[in-house]
Amino acid sequence: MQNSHRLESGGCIDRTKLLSFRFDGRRLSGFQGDTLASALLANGIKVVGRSFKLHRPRGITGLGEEDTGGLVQLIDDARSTPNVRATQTELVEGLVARSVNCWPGPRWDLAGGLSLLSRFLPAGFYYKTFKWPSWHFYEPLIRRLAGLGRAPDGPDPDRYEREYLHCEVLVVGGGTAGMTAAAAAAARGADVILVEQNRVSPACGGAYPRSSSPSLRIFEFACAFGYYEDNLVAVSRRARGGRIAERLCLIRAHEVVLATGAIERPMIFPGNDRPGVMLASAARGYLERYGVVPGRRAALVTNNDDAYDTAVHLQRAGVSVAAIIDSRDTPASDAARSAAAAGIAVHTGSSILGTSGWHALRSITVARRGESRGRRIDCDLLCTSGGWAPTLHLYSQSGGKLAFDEALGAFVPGEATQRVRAVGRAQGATLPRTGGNTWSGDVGAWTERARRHAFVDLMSDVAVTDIAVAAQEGYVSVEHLKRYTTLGMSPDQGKTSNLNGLALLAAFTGRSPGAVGNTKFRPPYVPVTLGAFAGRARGILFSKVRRLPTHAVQDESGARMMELSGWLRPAHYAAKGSLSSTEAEVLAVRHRVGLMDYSPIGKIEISGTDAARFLERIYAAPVASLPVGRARYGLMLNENGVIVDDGIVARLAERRFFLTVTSGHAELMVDWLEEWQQCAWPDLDVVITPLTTHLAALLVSGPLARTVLSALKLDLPLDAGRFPHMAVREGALDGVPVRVLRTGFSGEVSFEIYLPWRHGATLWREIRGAGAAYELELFGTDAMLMLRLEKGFIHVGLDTDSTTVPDDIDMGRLHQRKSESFIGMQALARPHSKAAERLQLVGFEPVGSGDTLAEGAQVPCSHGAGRQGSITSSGVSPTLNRPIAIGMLTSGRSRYGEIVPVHHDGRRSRARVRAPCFVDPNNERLRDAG
Amino acid sequence: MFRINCPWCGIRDHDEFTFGGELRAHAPAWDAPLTGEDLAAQLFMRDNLKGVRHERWLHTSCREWLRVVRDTADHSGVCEATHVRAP
Repeated sequence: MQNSHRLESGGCIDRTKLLSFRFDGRRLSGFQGDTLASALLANGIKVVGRSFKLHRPRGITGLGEEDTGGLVQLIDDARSTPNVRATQTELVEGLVARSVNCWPGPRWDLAGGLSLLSRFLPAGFYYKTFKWPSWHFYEPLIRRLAGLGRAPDGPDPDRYEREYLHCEVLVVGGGTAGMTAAAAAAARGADVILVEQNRVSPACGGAYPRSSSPSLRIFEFACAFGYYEDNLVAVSRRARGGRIAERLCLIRAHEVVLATGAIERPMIFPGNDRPGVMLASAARGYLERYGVVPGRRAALVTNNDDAYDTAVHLQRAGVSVAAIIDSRDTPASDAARSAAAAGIAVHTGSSILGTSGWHALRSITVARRGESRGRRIDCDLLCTSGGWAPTLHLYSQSGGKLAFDEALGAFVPGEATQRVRAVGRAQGATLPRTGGNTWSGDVGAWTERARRHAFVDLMSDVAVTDIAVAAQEGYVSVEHLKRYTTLGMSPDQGKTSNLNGLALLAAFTGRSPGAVGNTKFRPPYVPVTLGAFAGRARGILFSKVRRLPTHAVQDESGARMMELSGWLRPAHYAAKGSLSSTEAEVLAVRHRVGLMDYSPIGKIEISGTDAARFLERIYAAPVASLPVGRARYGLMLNENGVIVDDGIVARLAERRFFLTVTSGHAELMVDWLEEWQQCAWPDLDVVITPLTTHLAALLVSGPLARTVLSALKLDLPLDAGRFPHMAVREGALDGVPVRVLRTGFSGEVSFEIYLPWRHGATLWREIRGAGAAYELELFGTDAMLMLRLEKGFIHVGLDTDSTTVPDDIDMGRLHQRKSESFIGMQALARPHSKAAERLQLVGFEPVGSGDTLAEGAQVPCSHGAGRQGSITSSGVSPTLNRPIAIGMLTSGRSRYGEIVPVHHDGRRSRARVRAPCFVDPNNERLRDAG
Repeated sequence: MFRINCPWCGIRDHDEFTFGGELRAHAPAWDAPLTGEDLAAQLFMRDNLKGVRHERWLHTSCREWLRVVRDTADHSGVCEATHVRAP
């Protein structure tokens, strides 16, 4: 029956705008202004889903974020959003929702029988039971049975944004107190933001000017979920329509006003989880805001006077109120009078022994204190009210202290540590007093059956018995209780159960609730979409890759692009003939000439009167003695003496140096240099200029490199006499300033040409043109890695690790010649850094089968456990046409010729130890006579 | 989510800054010859105080290294910072 539980009038809904929606396949209707929860109740739907662990039927119990039963899966085209709160979902035309954690449906659930086993599933059940043979044996089945909604499979089609805002006063909560505070602050001329997680209340009354003041901004559907230092409040703003689904809004406020209201506590009694049991405030809210009566015949169980009002309101709306069950002996006289005037029977000093009904509530059993048999009262709605607790999650997150108020039975704001205050009901003073506990009598004397059927946390199926078990087993800290029983760990984060849980723990351990304390409130207050945290940092924007200056022309050259340390670079080019592409590229560099876009290499210029002194301290190699126009290989160490980077240092002028560093370290090494300059040596006159993305770099390498470059309009002599190995020259190429570095990372004569970024592609084409006659080959990073492997040159971080000092790679001579201090010097002087049994760089050649050694393969110790080394780089050398490798081996340099075992992934082989350089060990090709 | 008052840029959010460790009052000179124990203490041991201490922070936006006074228990007094290069 459509809208069977809707009143003819009343509520903030528009009865002229009928909206149709689907729930579990049933076509239903509601009105504009409804939430999904109010529309379900208006259609008489009591059972919305099943509980997390025991698959017990669950229905709507609350009006907002405190609800424990109204989780649904929302389905909308490509979207399938799990665990959406029906109470906070605006009804829209065509909405499709499904219940969670049940099959085939919430009323008939195949796993529903689990609740019959509840006596065998006490707190700590998983820890105690699924130990043999191991938890992983049972995990798949339990994961299938437990849980709530299903995570969507596809990519999230929605867009998210992040925004930063500032204001003088931030008001959280758009109820009466919040709106009043915001209006007053705005009238004073303050810049005010008010955030309200639903609509500002009352949305229909028009009692408040929407935004009369230009300095007042009101955000609806904006939930403040986190409160951080310096008054930073995180707000999730759900958009309605539009291109952005949700914004993560970070608001920095001079002052924060928390008008977050209060949340009602439910009473605890056996059978209190049956759909039809609802917070009194929720029943009244559905009546007043949506014109929905959640039941035909109601009863009310309470420990305070506030609930009497709700009974009278329900009665007036045409609901027959069968009884008020008050755990106190004497309610306030005016409350009793109003109930009597409405003709409602009041049972004082009474409690509920149990409830009954198939799926949903049909009747309750009520007894006076001390009576063991009660009498049955038929009802399909049971309103429960155990008093109110101020909503202080954000206040607590701000660092504010909480104080336990005995009369309220709840925590109220104590001393603040930031500029924040709680107002209205969140402040606590105006809340109705309660008459003691939310359960009846001595809970310690309850029967086991009663304890098992009296739920504290309806979302994660934590009953009174679980708390008793935890207390009995010594989990007397509220934080331990939470983790052991899962109390308050569901999507609602215990909004209605934490306080009841800690009060029960207090009762079981003979303490006062104030002494037990509350669990720490952590953000987020309500679940926030992960997409909102990610914002725009998804897909291509998640990790930005940089492109070469020649990127546009790489495609037409057949490049296979790969991401390498943040750059999109050609790994290799298309294969030609019988050779693989990498083989062809390596052989071209060895025998003719190759061209590579080398631009990702880190480039730093150092200038100033103290430039040489500065670099002398930075490099574990002599720098000050370097003549102008010459370059040197250098290692940078950290204070532990460990190699952090290697590269070339070139002296352009007396007070001007040009450094290259590993491409992956380009930014890090600039940071490193600046840190030392600012923090250790502020007296040195040095200017550090990062040039990595300012200068393009093209590398021409091979015996014919000089011949190809001579064809260009370069105003520099290239012959070996005037431009020797490890030299640097500045000149011009067709009017464009260039600096040229002659190096040999590939083992062949190489020229690195540095020029302004925008000229990189032009020079690329010119070199290709000039090289065509010499069969110039383009080569990628794969070929470069092989060329240097053939030479036994290290790649920092690949062949070295966080223990490698210069002598380990046979580069100790670089710093042994230094007379000045340098970073890492003290550590290198330690005996450990000079020990004979250190890991040293060596070459490896496979013996026996002759298969390539795997990178990462281990060299085990010949006796006992442990390793004596590992293979760090390996491959089949195109130049030698056999597998080669380099790696680290204990005392390696004194063991050339030895055959060692090599293990990898269960495979065993053997390798001969040798010098790491496989091609041209005397570097004759680099020092060519040309 | 505290803020730091950079002497160049003014009050900025802490996520613009990078932590650079504690500053010790009597740290040895960068190249002082140290015994093994002193070197280990310098490289690896930290006071890790609960309370007010001096720290280095890098303002990543303007690349300035700062000396910041921070109470590690509650971040009070964290706002003011001076150039680390100042004596």
